[in-house]
Amino acid sequence: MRIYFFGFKFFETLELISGQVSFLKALKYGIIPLFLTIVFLLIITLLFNHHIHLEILKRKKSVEEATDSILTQLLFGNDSYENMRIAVEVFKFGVPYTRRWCRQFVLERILQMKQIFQLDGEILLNIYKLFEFEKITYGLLRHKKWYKRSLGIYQLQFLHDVAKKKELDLLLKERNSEVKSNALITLISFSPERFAILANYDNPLNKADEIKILDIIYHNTPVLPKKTCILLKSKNTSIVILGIKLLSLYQVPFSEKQVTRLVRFSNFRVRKEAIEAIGKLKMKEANKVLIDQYKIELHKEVKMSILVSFKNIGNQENLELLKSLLNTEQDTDLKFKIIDAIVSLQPYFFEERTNATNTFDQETYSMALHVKDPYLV
Amino acid sequence: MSLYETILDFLEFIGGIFSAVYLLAYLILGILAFISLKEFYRSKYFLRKTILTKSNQAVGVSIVAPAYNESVTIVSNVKSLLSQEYPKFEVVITNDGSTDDTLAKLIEEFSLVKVNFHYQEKIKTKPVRGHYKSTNPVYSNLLVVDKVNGGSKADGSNAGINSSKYSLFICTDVDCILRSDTIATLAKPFIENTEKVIATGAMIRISNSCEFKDGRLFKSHFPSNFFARFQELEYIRSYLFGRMAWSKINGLLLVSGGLGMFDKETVIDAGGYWHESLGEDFDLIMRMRRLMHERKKPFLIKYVPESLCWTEVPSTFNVFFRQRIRWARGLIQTIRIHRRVLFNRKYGLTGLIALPYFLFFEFAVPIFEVIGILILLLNLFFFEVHSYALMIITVTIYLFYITITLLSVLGDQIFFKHYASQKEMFSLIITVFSEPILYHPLNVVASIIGYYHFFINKRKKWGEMTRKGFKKALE
Repeated sequence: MRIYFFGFKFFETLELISGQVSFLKALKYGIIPLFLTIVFLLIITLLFNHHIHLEILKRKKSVEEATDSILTQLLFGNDSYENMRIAVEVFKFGVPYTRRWCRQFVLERILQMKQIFQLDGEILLNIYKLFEFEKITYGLLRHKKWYKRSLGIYQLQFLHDVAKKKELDLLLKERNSEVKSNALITLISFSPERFAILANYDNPLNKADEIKILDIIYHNTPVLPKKTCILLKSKNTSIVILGIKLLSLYQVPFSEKQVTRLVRFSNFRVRKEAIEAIGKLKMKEANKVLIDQYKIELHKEVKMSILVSFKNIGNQENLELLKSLLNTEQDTDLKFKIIDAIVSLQPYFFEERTNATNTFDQETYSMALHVKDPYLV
Repeated sequence: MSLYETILDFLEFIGGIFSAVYLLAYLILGILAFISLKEFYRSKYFLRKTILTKSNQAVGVSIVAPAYNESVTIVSNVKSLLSQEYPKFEVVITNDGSTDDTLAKLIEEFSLVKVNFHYQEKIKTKPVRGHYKSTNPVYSNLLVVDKVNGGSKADGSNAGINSSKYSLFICTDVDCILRSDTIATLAKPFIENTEKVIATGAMIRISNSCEFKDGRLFKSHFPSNFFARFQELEYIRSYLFGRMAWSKINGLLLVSGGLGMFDKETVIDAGGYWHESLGEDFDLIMRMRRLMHERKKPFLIKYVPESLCWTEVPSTFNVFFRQRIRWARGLIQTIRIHRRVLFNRKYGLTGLIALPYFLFFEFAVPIFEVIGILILLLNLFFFEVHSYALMIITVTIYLFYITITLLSVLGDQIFFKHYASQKEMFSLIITVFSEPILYHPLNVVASIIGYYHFFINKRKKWGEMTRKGFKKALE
């Protein structure tokens, strides 16, 4: 048979290979009806899904007012527990509470309210229990799917349900790193003063974990635990970094021994973090260590951090070093930071020198103008 | 058997194998996209965006947006960019030598004054005339760069990157409307991963027909314009189906020029956007990937399946066709420039899978389609056509195509639920069925012309798109 259109030869070959079953017949009686069915089902699903979405939007709108009203009453009404329970029962009767979307809507609204009004965990937990949502949350914690457990932890953290600490302790032993991390963060959020437990945490923390932990500490400002310094001795470098950040947040200066150890730490991220903290804490006594480190430091980012710290803790010795570096430094980023630091330590250095000898090249002059411009600070 | 018949036999065989592999590739991409979407939605409780938008530990991000003759919309668009909900960001607008009063409007509205900005030209650009900052503290995070026109968006973006102060930057168009949590959403992958993330991208939607209020999306409608509605469909399929799948295997080669977040250091080391490129976004990602492979450093390019950006697309035949011709030229130009990467083990997944896919299934498909039609016509003239087989196979391919598009649309509806009415859903479904017949051939022709222009080395011409502006929501 001759070829008839592009690609047919290949299909003809397939037909020969398949032997008994004609390829075209397979398409006609198998694949095409299958595709037609899929296309039909997809269209129905698409229209149905969109219809349901619009319906739920409408329904949610209809229960929105009632939900907001009951939650406001419960949160700010100072009612007795019995009155609150009766109000919730009346509410449940007035809305399609048996429907999943409705329960979900109320649950989300409670969590939203907590976020908006920064509500006390105990009041919220009571309201949560009145709606019997705690059963859902507890159920999620034991769910076989990790992301459901993660959702459960998220709700628990929102509720500040400290009674479930034991369950969270168990989740710390999870293999899934996300669940493990979330459990750890929630435990810290329950008792922020216990963040020293991090010392024994062996998984690497990413920036997200750092942000979450620091966020909890920042919003709760607990008393700094005595043992926080042990974080600096952890074998896990991300815990060391977190320890540095925490001490910096609490304005706790490092000891001389800690400064030397951290500024010369093998991991450059730790060095950088420690140097930045030294600058923020204005630890002038660490000046000599930083000057020595600058001379041997190979990592550009760390060098930049040292220069930034010089702005806060520098003295005449730093200034002399910076002036000598000004003539030799070839890297423009470092040169920029050097000029910035010089201006911080001796604000009229460039004007005085320019008036006297006019020795600066165009680049240095331009950088000096930049760091002194009030709109660019 | 004549020589003619032998050649046709050969082409037929190759064509068949090609089609079968193409369909298989699509199936694999579909499965990967599904897994990727599932993973994304399962991990949403790991780091809540609300923490990021309030944290004093957030990483700084610069929004870089070049503007050329955008006088009509520049003020409202800059205000929209400044309304991002994120604790540490700046907006860097590059006035790329506008011949209208774009700069004057910015100066007047934002009380700008010229500052002594030390411009470090880490990426080569046309001369910068000056930098402007606002005297009003409310706009302290706005920086305007005024430069000589570079004839391309790339040059404007590069000047913005050189002037930006944070280690991450978003590259966008000044006329794009961004969702208020765009920075937080795009920055999340950089923060959540322990491996180095060099770029992130997200879904871009079409703003034609949408309603906006105070610089934000108010109501989403399916476009009414012929070209816009097909492009909407194309965007959904390409973003949800293609890019999610490539993101899953870390093979993403394209982060759209309309919206992407990048690691500044890697971009500068890779040489920034190339101003001669017709597909500068594709080219930049290729160069960033090459750099990381050559340095033997692990990296990630992540795609976020959320609609974060709304942009106006061509709504007339001329503008649309010109754009597609340019895209086709950009595709072949980039593949040619990076041809050494192809099938090169040194470049890992980029050289062995991602770029070959672009070569065979993005670049070659229009050529195969045209050859197929030509052979069919030759057969019609010289031989008897097996119309039954032709019909069966055409219907199968058509249904496969429709299924893929409908699956993408369903995914879009489940995760984003964008359209305001059921009537618009019907329009969308009709568009799905008519796309292969009405719209796809236009793309094929534009691609072939683009390739032809590339081979005859026709001088590149950007052309201008007349913007209709955004429809405002009724108060």
